[in-house]
Order: sequence, then structure tokens, then C-alpha cells
Amino acid sequence: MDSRAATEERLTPLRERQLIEQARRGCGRSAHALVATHQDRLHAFVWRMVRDRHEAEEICQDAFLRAFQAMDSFDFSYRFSTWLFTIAYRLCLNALRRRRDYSGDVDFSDVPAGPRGRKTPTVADEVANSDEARRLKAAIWEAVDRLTPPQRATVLLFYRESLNCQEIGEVLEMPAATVKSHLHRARSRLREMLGTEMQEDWTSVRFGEAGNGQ
Amino acid sequence: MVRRSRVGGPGVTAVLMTCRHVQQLHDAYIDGELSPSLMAEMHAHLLQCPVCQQQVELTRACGSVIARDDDEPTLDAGFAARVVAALQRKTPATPPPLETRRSRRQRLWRIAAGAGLPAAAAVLFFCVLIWPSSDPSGTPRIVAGKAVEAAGLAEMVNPTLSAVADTRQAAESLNRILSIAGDDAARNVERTMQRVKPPTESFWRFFFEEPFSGLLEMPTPPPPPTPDQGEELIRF
Repeated sequence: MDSRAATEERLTPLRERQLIEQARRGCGRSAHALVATHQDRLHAFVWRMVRDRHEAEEICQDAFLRAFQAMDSFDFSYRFSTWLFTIAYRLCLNALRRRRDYSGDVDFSDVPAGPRGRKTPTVADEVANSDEARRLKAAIWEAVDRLTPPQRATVLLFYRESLNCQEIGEVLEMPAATVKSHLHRARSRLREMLGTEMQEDWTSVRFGEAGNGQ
Repeated sequence: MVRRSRVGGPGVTAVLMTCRHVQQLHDAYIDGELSPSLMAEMHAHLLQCPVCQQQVELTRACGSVIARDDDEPTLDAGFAARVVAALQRKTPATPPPLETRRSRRQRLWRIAAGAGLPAAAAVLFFCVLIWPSSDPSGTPRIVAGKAVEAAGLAEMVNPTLSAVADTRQAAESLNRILSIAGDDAARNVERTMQRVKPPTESFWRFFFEEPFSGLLEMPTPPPPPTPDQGEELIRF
């Protein structure tokens, strides 16, 4: 996260505006610089949304092309990354709908609740076995994959891009209150899905400090 | 509204938050949005409730993994170059600017000016050709024609030029007629001048002064008739 944020931080708002205006006039080098600055973060977001490497690369390329072709209408009051992520998110939704596995809210009514009355240790007690850590990480990501696309996008933008609800709303084109609702619902579902997964392994896994908002 | 449970004896009360209330405030607590007093109550509850503590830790763990895990495939080094190449294939080097209402008005003005240019050139051409010129070589016409060709307006101007040329020819014909007539008239005058007299002072007086001499001098009235002449005079 820090490395990705550092890559974008190299571009100041003034420098970014210069590159955009030069790219508008057909400067290939400026377009290349804009792509190189944002490609990693964009690809990470898109891949986490569609979970297919080939499709993720296609969506990223399509998002950049659409952004450059519509460059004349870009509003400098927004960040270029916000606009880029908005285009990519729409393309992700199209891809997921084409895949026919987007069925709206997932039913977790059969997910068993965790046991009560049992002593539950904290998570960050000691460094875990690497295999256990990878397994639990995989379980968390699997649970994230089972969220609805708006919930998944909200979680990814909130934790990985460190955007607040207002900024997420600009990307996903929805009100900030709706974003907050998606985030709350996503967290609830993750806890429901992971409740049984984590009950045996709290003492053996250390995830470090929590992410955004702590 | 957060409902609290009161515990303790008379005079001593403690407000404790329930698990249900903790669930309601879960996200706000995770995101650090609670007031200091509510934060303290949450902390107090979590110290005594392992279930709620686990839920909070689970949410924090998920956030940590989502934020920090970078175990995703990366794009190869040539991705940016491929995007730029695809962009240059799809769009020209200088994309046309977005047409706004202002630029549309400017474009219409340019069209009108462009349409008016051939008309102006035709008017200029007409003036150059028809206007009396002492240069018989036709240089003004040649210069005007080359100017039209340079402007790339030949296709638009040629019909006008044809009409102008016809008019020019008509004007030239008229000039020739007038010149012939004028020549004839001048020759007739000259012949007349030779037949009558060489132009002398008396000649000029004969032509221009004699006809008017009677008018220029006041005639003396005739003397009145005498009554004894015996002639009956007709009196008017």
C-alpha cells in the first residue's frame, strides 16, 4: 500500500495536470507517464474485482483508452485516479454481468454463528506459522470475493486506496451514505463468513496493525 | 439512542453498554468516530466480553489483510507502451477540440467569411476588369486570377468570373462603339472646321458670338410714326 501510494505521490497535482493537457494534445510520452503512474493500483483493484488475470489486463487497458479518448471532457476538480477508477469499476460490472455470476446480495442465512462462552484470544498475539497465515489470508480474500460487487468495491477502495466515503461515492457514483451502508454490510458479512474459520486460529496468526480508520 | 444498563447499589451507579449496542456502534468504533465517552464505554465492554472483542478483532484483521496484502499479479513492463500504441491507432495525434456553443459560433463565422471571400474576390475582379485602365496588357486581370488560384477558390469563383468576363466583354464592346462614334464625331467636326474657315478669331466669333450678338446688344427702338404722313398705321 505504501509503495503504491508513493508511486502516485510522485505526481503532484500541477504535474498531473500538465501531463493530462499534454496527452490531450497527443503527446505519447505524457500518456505513457500517466499510464505508468496508475497502472499498478488500477490493476490491483480490477483484479480483486474480477479475479481473472487476462480479463483484468483487458479491463485496465480499456479503462485507460476510454479515459484518454474522453480526455477533453475531464474535469480538473477531480483527481485523475478517481475518474480512472470510475471507468474501471463500470467495466468490471459489465464483465461480471457477462459472466452471469452476479446475483445481487449473497444469502448467508446458513452460515453458522461462532460459539459463545469460549475463551477467544486476540489476533495479534504472536507471529504465526506462514502456512497458517496464508490460509487465513486466503479465507479472508475468499470471503471478500463472495461480497456483492458494490460491497467489494467499497471495501477495496476503503482499505487499499484509503479513500473516505465521499471519495468512494465519486468513484462508484453513489451517495456517501450509500457507501457507508455498503461498508457496514460488507463488514458484517465478512464477520459472518469468517466466524467459524477463525475460531481455531486466533492465537497462531498475527496480521499486524489494522488498516484504515484505526 | 444507546440504552445502558445500570448496576451498583444505592448511590453508586455504573453505566454499562450491552452487546447489542456494541454491535450498533461497531463500525464507528473501528473507524474512530465515537466521542471519548463512548469510546471509553466500548473499551470497558470489550474488556469484559470476549465475543464482542473477537468481532472487533476480526473486522480489524480483515481490514489489515485487505489493505496490506499485495499478493496479486502485476502487469508486465510493456503494458504502458501497448496502451499508448493502441491509443495512437485509435485517435489522431491532435484530437479535435470539444465543440462548444462558442466554438460553433466561431466556426459559422469562419464559414461565412470563407463564403464571402469568393464574392469579394469577384467584386474586386469586376472592378479591376471594368474600371478604365490605361494598362492595355491586362496585368490587373492576371494578378487577380493568380490570387484566386492561390486561395484555392477557383472552383467557387470561376462561374462568377465567367459572368464578369461576359460583362467585361460587353463593356469593351461598348467602349469600342463609343470610341468609334467618338472618332467619327471628331472627324466630322474636324472636316467641318476645315471647310468653313481655319480657326481664327473671326471664326470663333462667327460660331460663338455672332449668333448671340443681337441678344448681347440692346436694339434702339424705332422712331414713332408722324401723324401727317397720311398713312394709316396699324397699331397693335
